[in-house]
Amino acid sequence: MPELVTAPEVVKQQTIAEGKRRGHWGAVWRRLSRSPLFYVSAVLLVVMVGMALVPALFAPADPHECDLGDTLAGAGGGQWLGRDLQGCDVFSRSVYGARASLGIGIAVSLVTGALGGVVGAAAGYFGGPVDAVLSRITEIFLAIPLLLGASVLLTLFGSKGSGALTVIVALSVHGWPQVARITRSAVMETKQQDYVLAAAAIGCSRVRALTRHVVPNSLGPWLVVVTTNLGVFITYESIISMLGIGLRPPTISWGQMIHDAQARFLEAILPVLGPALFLSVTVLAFILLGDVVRDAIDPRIHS
Amino acid sequence: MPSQPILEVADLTRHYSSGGRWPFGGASWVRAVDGVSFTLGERETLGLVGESGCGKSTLGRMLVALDRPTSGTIRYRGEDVHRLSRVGLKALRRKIQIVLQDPYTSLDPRMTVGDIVAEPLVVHGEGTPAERRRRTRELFELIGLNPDHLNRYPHEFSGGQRQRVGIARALALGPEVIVCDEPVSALDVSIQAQVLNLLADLQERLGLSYVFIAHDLTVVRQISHRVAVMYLGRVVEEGPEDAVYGRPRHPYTQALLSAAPPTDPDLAREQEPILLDGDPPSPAAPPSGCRFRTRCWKAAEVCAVEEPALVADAGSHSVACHFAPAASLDPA
Amino acid sequence: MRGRKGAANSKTAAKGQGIVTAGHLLEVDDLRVEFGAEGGPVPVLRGVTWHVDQGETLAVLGESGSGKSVTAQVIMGILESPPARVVGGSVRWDGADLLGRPESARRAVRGEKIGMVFQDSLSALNPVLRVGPQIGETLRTRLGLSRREARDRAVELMRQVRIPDAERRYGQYPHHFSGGMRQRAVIAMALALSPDVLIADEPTTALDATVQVQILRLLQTLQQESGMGLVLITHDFGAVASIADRVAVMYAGRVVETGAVRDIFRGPAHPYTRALLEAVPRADRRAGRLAALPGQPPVLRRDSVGCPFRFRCPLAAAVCAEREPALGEHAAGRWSACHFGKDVIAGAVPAHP
Repeated sequence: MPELVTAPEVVKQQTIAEGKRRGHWGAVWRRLSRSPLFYVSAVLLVVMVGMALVPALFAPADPHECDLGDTLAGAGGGQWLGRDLQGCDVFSRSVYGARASLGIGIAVSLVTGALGGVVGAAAGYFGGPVDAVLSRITEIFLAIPLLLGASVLLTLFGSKGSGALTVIVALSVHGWPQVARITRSAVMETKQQDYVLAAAAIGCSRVRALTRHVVPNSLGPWLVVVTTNLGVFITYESIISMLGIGLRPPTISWGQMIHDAQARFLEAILPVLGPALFLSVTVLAFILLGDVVRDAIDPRIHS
Repeated sequence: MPSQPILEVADLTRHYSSGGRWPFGGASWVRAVDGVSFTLGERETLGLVGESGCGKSTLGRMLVALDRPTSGTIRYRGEDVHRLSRVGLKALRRKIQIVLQDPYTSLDPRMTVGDIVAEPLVVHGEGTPAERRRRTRELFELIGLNPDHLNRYPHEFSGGQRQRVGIARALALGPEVIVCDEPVSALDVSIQAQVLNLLADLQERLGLSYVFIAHDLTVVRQISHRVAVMYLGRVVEEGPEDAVYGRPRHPYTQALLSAAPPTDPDLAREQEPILLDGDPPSPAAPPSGCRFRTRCWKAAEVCAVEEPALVADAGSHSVACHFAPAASLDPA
Repeated sequence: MRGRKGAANSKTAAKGQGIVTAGHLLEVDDLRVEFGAEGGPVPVLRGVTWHVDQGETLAVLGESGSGKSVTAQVIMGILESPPARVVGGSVRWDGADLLGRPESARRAVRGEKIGMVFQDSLSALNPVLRVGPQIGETLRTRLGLSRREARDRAVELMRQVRIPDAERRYGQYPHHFSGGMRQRAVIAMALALSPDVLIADEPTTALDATVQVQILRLLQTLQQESGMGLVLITHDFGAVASIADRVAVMYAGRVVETGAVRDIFRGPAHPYTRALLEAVPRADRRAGRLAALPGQPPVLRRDSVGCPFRFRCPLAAAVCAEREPALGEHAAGRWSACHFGKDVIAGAVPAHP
């Protein structure tokens, strides 16, 4: 049914011919900027990043200034989410927890994005033996459940409580294969496009063809998975910390706060709910962002 | 028209394995191109025509060194294309270029059309950015696009305009030979004619030689001086355009021609088409002897045993058939 | 050919007043479709009118984007909507409007009275099911045939479309079939309920030349054998010249010329048809230079005025920019949407520069 394809094409031509020139990413940005969900997630993320950068601006109290006498106090008296077991302000601690959670989420996303991107691109582009070797390695890592693998690494190497770096490494080791797999298939699809063949015909080197044509055209799926992964890795960090093998005090993290509060969950629910709420909102915002980015890059998927 | 050959193809074959992947080996061998020879003269257009799976596109890719032959040679002005050094190969790319079929996938959607046309110049280190810009504008005028649209992206152009951009890219380095791989088959009739006329004009103005690959006989006749008809990896008939179309000697050519009815309703209804049996067989398992015999109404025992050789008559009109009618006495 | 109302008085027809009800078997009348798009709705069909009767072959001829396939999608109820939307006109079966009726009534007509064959035979067949049962499926669901009856009928249908060795082929999967055989199977599916009209949307475009003739001849034979109406949607002039009785030429979402195939191909009544015929390369002679139509098809807008072909037309005059010509009869049975239809028929058309 060629008409179904051509007609909107014609429309696009028309609207763009009237406006100013814009490339692919220009068009992506235009679609993003028209999506209300993009603004919702963007506002949430700006607030979260703000908390991570200057928590003092958002927190009403010092998270380390605790009053054991007020242990597990309910909400009220300036403590919107009450106090935890140590008598610390749950809301303030949650605000301060943003730094560790977001920091680790972003760091792991970047590391896995870079590693998975390079491995996937190389496997997809060079194919043959390179692909076979890299893909088998990817599959081996993929076969180990991320959470289980990371827990093993952390219990082995982080016996005295893990530092942020250990957590980043543990999550990255098991997080990159998924990115690699998605990048590989994106690159393989792009590689078969005629313009890559045309580039070879004019004498482009393989490296130039890869960097000028294949990578820019495979960036979409990679960007989507990396964005969505931000939320995913923040969750994993929290789970690991909640299990008691992740970040340890004095670093404040949401997972660890939930870990500390879960034992007395029935007496006081706010110390669990508080950080959980922060966590959910952040993760939701990132996954939402990944979703709208995907729609903006490839509008045909939905709608 | 033919003069000094610019391209000589001798006994070219390309076999590739299908199915298996490293390290598990190939499943079967597809003989995509299986012993093809021809020459291309200066300012000449050779039309390569055939149905899907006849190997015409694989052949085209070998001509521009995008694929390596299994055996046989391609000589450009006497030099074996597939024995060139890296430097030699890059120099060759200035001289032999390709225009691809699909104007929608052959242009990088992330680049402006100006950058696409200038890329060959960049890759070959030609000129300063300003000089390249000027050359790109010249190329745009040459192929009939507005040079003020250099900064636009491919999606802002129609299929015909994109195909012009693809032609401009192929022309950027000043080639002598252009392999046109189905350049108009994705285009509508009215646009097709524009592009065919453009190619003819460019040949005249720039002294180009074309290898014009297509499945559509009518299009091939429009632009070619000589025509080679391919079937399952082999040339079954080859000769001057008027001879092949006017006095087709191979049953396959005759069937193909009858499959392209004239646009006059009465003539079209008078002309009883030659209906061949079934589809072309797979090039992975071509029939023994003459490859066309399974669909041929003239087939006899000898056809299953012995593959007919491509034999030329006095008018350089060759045919590979045991039962080809005698060569015409008055060549052209 | 009996008198047909042109686009001039189509407004009344668009309201479904049903002026002309007698006569044609399948009739598309002033059909209008829009696509929702980023910059507001864009017209795709701007009043398409054609009809087909039992025992005749109508060719709907047009280039990509002319809207020729959209019409068929509306008839078959497979128009993707949104983004597309029918905004006016009617599709009538035996005089009764289809679009206004409930879905169940429409489905009854579509499946049993109208069959459809698509261009892409590979995606029309389910790759994990055997071909034969796929042909028989409609028989079982629509006619309530038993498994055995459906099987016998499916084999019979496969024979009817000249699939050799139909008994054995019945149990094979689509990937065992060549392109031509798959298209035959798809035609068999469309014929399962013995439709009165078969719509074939570019049925040969994806096939090799030698296979194209086979399928075209098959459609012609089937049409003659069963006396059904055949609507052949195509851009292939040779195919139209070979098997069509009447032609509707589409441009920019409208029928710009319609009439008997001989009339149109011998002496077109619209400059677009004329230009296309001159631009077609031919196997029987080398034209030297093709008379190429300049420019591109227009970008359609809701507020477009005048004749959409005027930008590419050698006859364009002031009147062409002012109002769009209605599909009018310029000589007996010669309908075209051109202000200068008579001149075009007379051959008074300057060549393109």
